[in-house]
Amino acid sequence: MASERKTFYCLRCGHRFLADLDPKQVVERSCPECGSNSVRRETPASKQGAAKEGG
Amino acid sequence: MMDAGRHPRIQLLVNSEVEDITGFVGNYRALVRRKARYVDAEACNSCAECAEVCPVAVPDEYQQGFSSRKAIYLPFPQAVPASYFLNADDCLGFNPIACGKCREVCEKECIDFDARDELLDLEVGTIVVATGMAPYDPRPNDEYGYTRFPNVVTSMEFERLICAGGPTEGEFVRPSDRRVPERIGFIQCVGSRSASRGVPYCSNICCMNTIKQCLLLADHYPDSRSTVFYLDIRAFGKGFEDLYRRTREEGVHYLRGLPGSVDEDPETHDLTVRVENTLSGRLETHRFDLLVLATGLVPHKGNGDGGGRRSVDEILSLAHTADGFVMEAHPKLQPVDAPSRGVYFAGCIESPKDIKESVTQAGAAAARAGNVLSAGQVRIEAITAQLLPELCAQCKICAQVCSFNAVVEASKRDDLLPEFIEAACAGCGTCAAECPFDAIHMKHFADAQITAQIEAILAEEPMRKIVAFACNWCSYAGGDTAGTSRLQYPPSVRLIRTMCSGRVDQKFIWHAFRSGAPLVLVSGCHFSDCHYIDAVTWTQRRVEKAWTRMEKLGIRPERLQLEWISAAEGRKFARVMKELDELRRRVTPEEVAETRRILEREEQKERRKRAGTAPTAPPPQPDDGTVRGLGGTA
Repeated sequence: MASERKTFYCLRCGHRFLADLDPKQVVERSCPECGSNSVRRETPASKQGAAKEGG
Repeated sequence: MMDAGRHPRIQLLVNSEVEDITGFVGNYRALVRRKARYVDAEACNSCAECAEVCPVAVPDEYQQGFSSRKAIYLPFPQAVPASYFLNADDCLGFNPIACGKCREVCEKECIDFDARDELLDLEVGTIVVATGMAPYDPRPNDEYGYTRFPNVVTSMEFERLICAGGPTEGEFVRPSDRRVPERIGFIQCVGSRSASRGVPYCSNICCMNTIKQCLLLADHYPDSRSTVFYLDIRAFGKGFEDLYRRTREEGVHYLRGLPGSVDEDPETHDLTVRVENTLSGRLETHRFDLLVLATGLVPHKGNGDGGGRRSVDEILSLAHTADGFVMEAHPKLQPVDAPSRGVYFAGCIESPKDIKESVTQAGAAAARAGNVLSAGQVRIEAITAQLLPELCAQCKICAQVCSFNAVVEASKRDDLLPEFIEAACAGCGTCAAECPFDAIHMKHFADAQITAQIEAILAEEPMRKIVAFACNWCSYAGGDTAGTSRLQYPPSVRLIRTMCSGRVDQKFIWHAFRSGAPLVLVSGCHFSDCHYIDAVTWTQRRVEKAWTRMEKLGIRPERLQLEWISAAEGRKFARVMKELDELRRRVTPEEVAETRRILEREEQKERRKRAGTAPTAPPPQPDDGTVRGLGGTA
C-alpha cells in the first residue's frame, strides 16, 4: 500500500501539519514547528478531544 | 582474491546468494543458493573456444558497456575461479537447446546445460558482511548531459577507457569519434553532498580518484589539459596532499564551482561547460573534448527484490543509519561489529571508503571473527531476557518483536514454549515490554525495580515531578552531556534509566500516572541511532497505543510525551526538559486526581479479569549465569 498524506498534530505545541503515512512503516516524526517528537496522527476522536481542550 | 581461492581453509562460493540465516553467534546456519554456472569450473581451462563460437553479443558490464561479451564468457581477466560462465539469461536457450555451439567445440566437455542451482546448508560460527556499495547513477543530474552526449562519461567509465585491460587496451579515446581527447574536464561531487539530488554525504573517494586520474592523464598523455570543477578538494590521508600538489605542478587546473550547464556541439561533439567561478565570482565558459563525472557512492540495495527474495540486510536484520549504510554496534568502540553478536562488517557496506580503509576494516572484521571462533565462548552482559514459563501463553509476540533472533518461537500445536537464547539476546527488553502476559523477566531491569523507582520519585510532592524514562545509550547520555556542559534544566525532571526505550512497558506509564505523575516522558535514540536495530520503532508504536488509550479514558494524551534525543544533544535535552516543565505546570491537581481515579478503576477491572483467567505469577527464576550454546558465563 502506498503512503498517503495525513494530518498529524503535535502534543507539545498543538501545531497541525500534513505528512506522508505508510501504514507498513514506522518512521521518526517531528513537529515542523517546535521539533518535538510527540507527534500523533489526527483521528476524528483526537480532533474532537483537542477541540474540547482548546489544543 | 586468488590467494583466497587457493587457500585450503577458504571455500569461495561465487555466483551464490544467501537465502536465509538462522541461529546465533557460534551457531549460525546459512542457506546459500549456488547458482548453476553450466560450466565445470574445475575442468575448464579458459581456452575461450566456446566464446569464439557463441553467436550472442551483449554489452560487457565489466567494461561499462564499451565493448561486448558473449553469453558464455570470463567475467573479467582476474576472475576466480578462472573459468568460463554461461549466463542463462543471455543464451539463446538450452531447454530445448537452441544453439549448443559452445558445447560442440568444448574439447574438455565441461559444459552441462542440465546443471541446476545447488542449495548449501552451511554451519558457521561468525559472519562477515561485505556486500559493498553501488556507484551513483548520474542520470537525474540532467544538466551534465550524461547519456545525452556520448562524450560525457562517469569516473568508472573513464577508468575502463584508460585501463590497459579496458575495451581499447589502454588507448585513451573518446566514445564519439575514437579520437584522443586533449581537453578533459572533471566534475566533482556528482550525486554527493546534495540534499536535492543524490546523497547528502561526502562519498570519500571521488576527490582522490580524480587526482589519480589526472596524474594518469598527465603521465600517459603529456599534451592533455585537465580541469577539475570542485566544491572542496578533500585530500586527507597519508600522502594524499602530496598527490594533490603534484597534479597542480603537472598543470591540472582546479576551478572552484560546479557547472550549471553542459552543451554539445552537434558536429564536433565537443562540450561547452558554463560555470560560476566562485573564487573570482565570474561566469566562465570552457570547452572540452571529454567530460568526466566524479560520481558518488550509494548504499548497495543487496540482492533483495522487494518481493519474496530478501537481501542480506533483511535476513540479518541489519539496522541502517540515515544515509542508508549499515549501522555498527558502536561507531567508535565497535566499528566493525553489527548489533547482532558474531556479525561483522567490512568495506563499503558500512560507509564509503577507499581500498586502504576497506582492507583495514576487513582485517579488523576477520580478527574479530577469529577471536570469537578461537575462544569458543562469548562473554555477554548479564542483562538478558528470561522466560517465566508459568505465565507464558505461547502467543509468539516475543519472537516476532526480537530483531536479534534471540527467541525461538513457541508452538501451541507442539506445546513448546519460546526458547530464549542468551548468547543472542542484546538485552533491549522489547520482548518483556510487549509480552501481554508479563511472562518475561528482564534481568537487572525487572518490572519490580522500575516500578520501585517510579514510586520513589513520586513518593513526595508528585505534582512537582516529571517521570522521564531515558535509554542508556542516547537520552540518558544526552542528559549527561547537558550536565557536563553545565546546561541548566529544571529539577522536576527525574530520570529512570533503561537500556533501551523499548523496555518501557505501557504498565510503567500507567503506574506513573496512577502514582500521581502529572507528566511522563519516554525518550530514546533517534531511529537511525538505535542500538538495538529497530527496538525504538516498538517504543513509538507502544506510546501511540498509550495515547489512544489515554484519549479513550479521558486523560489528555499531552501528558505523555515522546522524544528522541541522542547522546550529543545535550542542548536539546535541556530545552526539552524546560518545555516539559512548562507542560507540567499546566496540569492541575484535580486533573491528576481524576486520572488516578480512572486508572485505579481500570486496574481493578484488569485485576478481576486476570483473577478469572491467569495463574498467579511466581517469583522470577534464579539466574544460574549459563549462556546457552557456548558454555560461557554471563
